[in-house]
Amino acid sequence: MSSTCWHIQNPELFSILKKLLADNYNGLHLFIENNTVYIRGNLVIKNTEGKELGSFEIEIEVPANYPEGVPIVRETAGKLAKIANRHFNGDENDSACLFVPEARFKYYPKNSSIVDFIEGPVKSFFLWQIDYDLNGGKSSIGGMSHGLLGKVEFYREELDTRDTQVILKFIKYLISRKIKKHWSCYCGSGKELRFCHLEELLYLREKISKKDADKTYRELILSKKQLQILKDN
Amino acid sequence: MTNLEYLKDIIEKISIRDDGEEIKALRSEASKIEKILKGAFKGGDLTIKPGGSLAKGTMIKESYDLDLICYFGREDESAGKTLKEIYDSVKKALETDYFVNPKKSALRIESKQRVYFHVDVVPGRFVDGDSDDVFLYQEAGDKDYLKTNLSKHIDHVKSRGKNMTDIIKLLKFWRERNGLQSAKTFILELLTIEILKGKDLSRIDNCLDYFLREVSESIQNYKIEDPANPTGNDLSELFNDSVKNLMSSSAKNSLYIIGQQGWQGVFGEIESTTDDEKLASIQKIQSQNPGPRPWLRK
Repeated sequence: MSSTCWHIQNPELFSILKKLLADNYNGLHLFIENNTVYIRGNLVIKNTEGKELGSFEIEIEVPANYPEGVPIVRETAGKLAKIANRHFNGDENDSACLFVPEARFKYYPKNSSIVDFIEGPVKSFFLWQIDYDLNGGKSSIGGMSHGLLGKVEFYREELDTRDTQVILKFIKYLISRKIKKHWSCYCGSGKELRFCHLEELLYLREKISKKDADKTYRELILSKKQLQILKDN
Repeated sequence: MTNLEYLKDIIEKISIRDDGEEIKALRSEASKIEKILKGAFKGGDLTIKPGGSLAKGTMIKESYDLDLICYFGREDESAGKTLKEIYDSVKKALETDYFVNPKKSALRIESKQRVYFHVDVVPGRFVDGDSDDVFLYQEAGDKDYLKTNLSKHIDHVKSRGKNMTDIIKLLKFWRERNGLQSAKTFILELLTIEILKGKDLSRIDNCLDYFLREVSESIQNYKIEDPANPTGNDLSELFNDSVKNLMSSSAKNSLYIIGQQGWQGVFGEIESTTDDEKLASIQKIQSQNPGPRPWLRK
């Protein structure tokens, strides 16, 4: 990582970020500490009619590879217990786990602005927290399962299947350097890809990060035990 | 509804009643802490009581912590001879039951059961037997101790009357809504009192308007000092240019919003959304525009 923070290397990008924040959020401010850019302050969650549902003291750590990387989000007032059930990673920073990595293209696609990030995944996360509290510690929205199972759930929903073998084959095709149209389709139909799910595969190959998919693939094939767990869930 | 009536309703909305659940919970936690500390320093000459916004009558629902002072008598060595030893002994005594996060002079304690509350225990030692002056240990700063006086702090706020405590509550609410957490409560209180010196406090709306104008235009001209230790407690670190600039730009922005939408643009609606309304809203948002469901890296 460069010793010079991105806001110095790219002052134009920094001033766009600053303006976007100032134009959209009275309660969020920029801070620079130890070569890192932070957005800190109060985030108000409103309903569709503009009525307030709740507010949270938050911190968004803008990554060194901004706007490429996903910012890290934290709740800083300590009003939310930093527990797994609330989807806070048990790391030293108690960061919020906003979405499955592979789902990034849906909720925070590359070239999105910081406002898209706050209005999308960040507000969804804190809306989820309000729902969790209102329902006595059980969200009606539902969350993704933790760890590998949550990632498999993402693929289950995308591919509309519960078959782990189909998912494994699909991810293998996702991370393959090249795709041959005559390959058998991952869905198990026995047809060639070109006569089956080629279009869907090409679309998701473009959208899902190969790095994230590769990680999931490795985790999946790591042990048969993992696969058994997935079958049981 | 006049501006004054609206602001009084907001004060009512944000205030914590003395018999409210929040206060009961804090007092119950305070009793538990007192028992732990008195058990740990048996026979010690301890004074344990609430300080901060609970003692000053400026606590608000949006953000409330309890400052619990734990002062040892001048001759009492049950927790140690030095201020550092006292600080460390109190920390150790609390660690069995709580997560303890050391702050500059206070010990922030958090529930091990992950229940939300913030209590800051402030260990210290009385300077002598005649006054309320105390020495606190300081983990950071140019010197490792600080002379202060809780009674003077409380009196500095309370002696200005209820209108002043109401104004401070509103400004604390303003701070929270504008994400100005870097402006510490102590600083905000001192600045409010300084700016509104000699003003007619009965017109809360005028006072707030004046405060915001002064902060937006002339905050650099204001000097604040610790009433308990004007020369020995340097507040310039807490009231630095970054805090001043942030407060100034937020005040400017608030004045603009007031001009466009009235006070409601700054403090929101008087009536809170009910839980049922919130749940219905969440379902509506989910059906119209479902966002990502949270995950966990594990």
